[in-house]
Amino acid sequence: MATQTFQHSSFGNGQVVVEIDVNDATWRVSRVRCINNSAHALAARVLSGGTEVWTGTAPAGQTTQWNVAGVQLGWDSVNSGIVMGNYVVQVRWPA
Amino acid sequence: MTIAITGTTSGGNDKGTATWVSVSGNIPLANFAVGDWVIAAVAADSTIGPKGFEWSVGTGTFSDFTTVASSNKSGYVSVKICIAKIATKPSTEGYLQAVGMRSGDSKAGRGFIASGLDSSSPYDKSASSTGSSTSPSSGATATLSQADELAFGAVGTEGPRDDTRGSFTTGTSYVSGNETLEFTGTIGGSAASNISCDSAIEIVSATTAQTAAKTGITSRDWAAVVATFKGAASGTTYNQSVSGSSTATGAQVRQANKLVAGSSTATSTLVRAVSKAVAGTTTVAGALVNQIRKSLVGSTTGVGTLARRTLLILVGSTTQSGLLVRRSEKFLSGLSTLSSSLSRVQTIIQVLSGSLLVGGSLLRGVSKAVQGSTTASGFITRVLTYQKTLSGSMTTGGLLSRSVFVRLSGLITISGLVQSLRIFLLSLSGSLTLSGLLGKLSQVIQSSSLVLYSSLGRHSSVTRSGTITSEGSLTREISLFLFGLLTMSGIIRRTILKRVLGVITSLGDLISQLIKVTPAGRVPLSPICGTLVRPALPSGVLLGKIVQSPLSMSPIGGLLDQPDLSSPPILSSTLSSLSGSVFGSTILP
Repeated sequence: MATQTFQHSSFGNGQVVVEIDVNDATWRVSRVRCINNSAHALAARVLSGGTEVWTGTAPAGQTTQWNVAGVQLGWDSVNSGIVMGNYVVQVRWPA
Repeated sequence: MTIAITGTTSGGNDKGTATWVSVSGNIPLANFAVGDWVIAAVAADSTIGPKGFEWSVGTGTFSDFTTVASSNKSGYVSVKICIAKIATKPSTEGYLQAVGMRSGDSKAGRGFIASGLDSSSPYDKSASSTGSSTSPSSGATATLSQADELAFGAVGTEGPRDDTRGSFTTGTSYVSGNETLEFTGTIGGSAASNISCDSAIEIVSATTAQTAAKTGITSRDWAAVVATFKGAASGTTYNQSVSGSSTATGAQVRQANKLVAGSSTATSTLVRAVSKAVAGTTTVAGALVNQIRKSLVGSTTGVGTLARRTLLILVGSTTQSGLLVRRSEKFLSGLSTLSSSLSRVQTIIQVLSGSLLVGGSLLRGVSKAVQGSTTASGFITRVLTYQKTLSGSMTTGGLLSRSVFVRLSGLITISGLVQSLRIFLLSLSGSLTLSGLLGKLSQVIQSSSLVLYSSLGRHSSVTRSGTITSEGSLTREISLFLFGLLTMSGIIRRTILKRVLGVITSLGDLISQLIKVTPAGRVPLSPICGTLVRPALPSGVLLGKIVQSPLSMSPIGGLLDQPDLSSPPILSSTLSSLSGSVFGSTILP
């Protein structure tokens, strides 16, 4: 088992990067991480069917990780991509 | 400066062979200029690139290339918004390319040129999102920093350009418009082998948060992103001989008005305004950094923050209800009203025949040649006030820390707490009344009266012909050439008097008094009704004949304790009038 990391989004010429960790044994997303080297916070949220099910804020100048066990994202081994299903992950920067 | 866009007719695509993708059609050279910004959205299979922009032909160059925001649905599609400044124009008309992409990726791009953006750092806010549906949405940005911005939204989908395109959601909080006639993307093979990109551009005039959202597309994996870019502040505005009105609603760097007979209104931030011969009204509702006006006959109203104002020959009224940092006024004959806080204010008023009203706190004020009245009814802390030739009155109801007055002929009344006060008075012909605590007072050439109802820490007077009355305690007083009357009803800790021609009357205790060079025939200590403790009369400094020594003061109603009378000349006096008691003194016949 290993964790694979995929970039979800980035801002400010790479000053802010949002990554998703995937357990390649279960193909479940385990964590969302924001590496924020900017002077502004980042806001993130997850929608399920248009309803907000999770929100988080990544402060400026630090790395923030969120456990997203409640967000059942999946893995498409055929396309080597994340299966979003009914989920939408939104981030904004500056928050 | 107005935001404008150029070159939005189409985009370009590449299905896996090149390392670049075109993002525009041909753009005429006349349609853009050096300093304009290229903004493009590039969608691709992977997150690699772009690394910059190039012109398809010619030698034009770019600077400050930045990927301001990106969104990536790993394994499916990513979309980025990139920006760069045009450094040099190409020699030949051509189109824009995004370069540094990965060969093998399907990719599509849409770009344009924008003028009127902030010249150094236009990027403001962004948001990104990924999903799989028929209705991609970037999510909302934070509230924009300013009203005049350009919003750019892009949606990348893993699908061909013959998918159902759908449409961008419209409304004040959604980016729409300038979407071009054609959907940009690759085509051929399986749907998942293609990448399409759609975009919308909108110039907004409010700070409403922006979202890029589409509905009705073929259900695909998508990545959406929106970014906003600030417009440049308005440039210099010159109005000459305007008889109508001048209104600036946006940010304004500099405004110069001459001979305006109508009104001049700035409803937002105004960095600098210069007006000459304004007969009408001037209203600034936003922040005003620097305002210079000459020959203003009408009124000036500042509702917002005013950093600095200089007025010359103002006949009308001036009203400032917001924060005022610094103001300079000359030849003001009307009314000047400050109804709110004045922080770190430097007010220079020359030849004011009207009145100055300060309703808030005043940190520093400088007034010259004021003939009217100055009233501060609010709390005044750490004030440094310079006033010259005030023939009117000045009233402060709050705390006054420091004041300097020169040639004051009017009335000064300080009814509030006066703490650590330092006042310099020159040529005072009026009166000064202090009812609060006074730290230090210096007077020069005072010809009128000074009344102290409270404590005085230190007082220095030079050539005073008026009277000083202190009903509080006096810690130290130094008087030179005193012609008037000094009456102390409180405790006097130490007094140094030189060439005193007047009379000192102490109704309270007098402690450690030092008298130097008293003139012949005068002893300025009569009567002392309280206790006189350790008077020091050093030898060799008494030039005149002393008819009444300190020991023969008539009457001494109090107690004389251990006088130091070591100098023979003063011992020739008599003690016939002594009605009090003497303890521990050496008294020679």
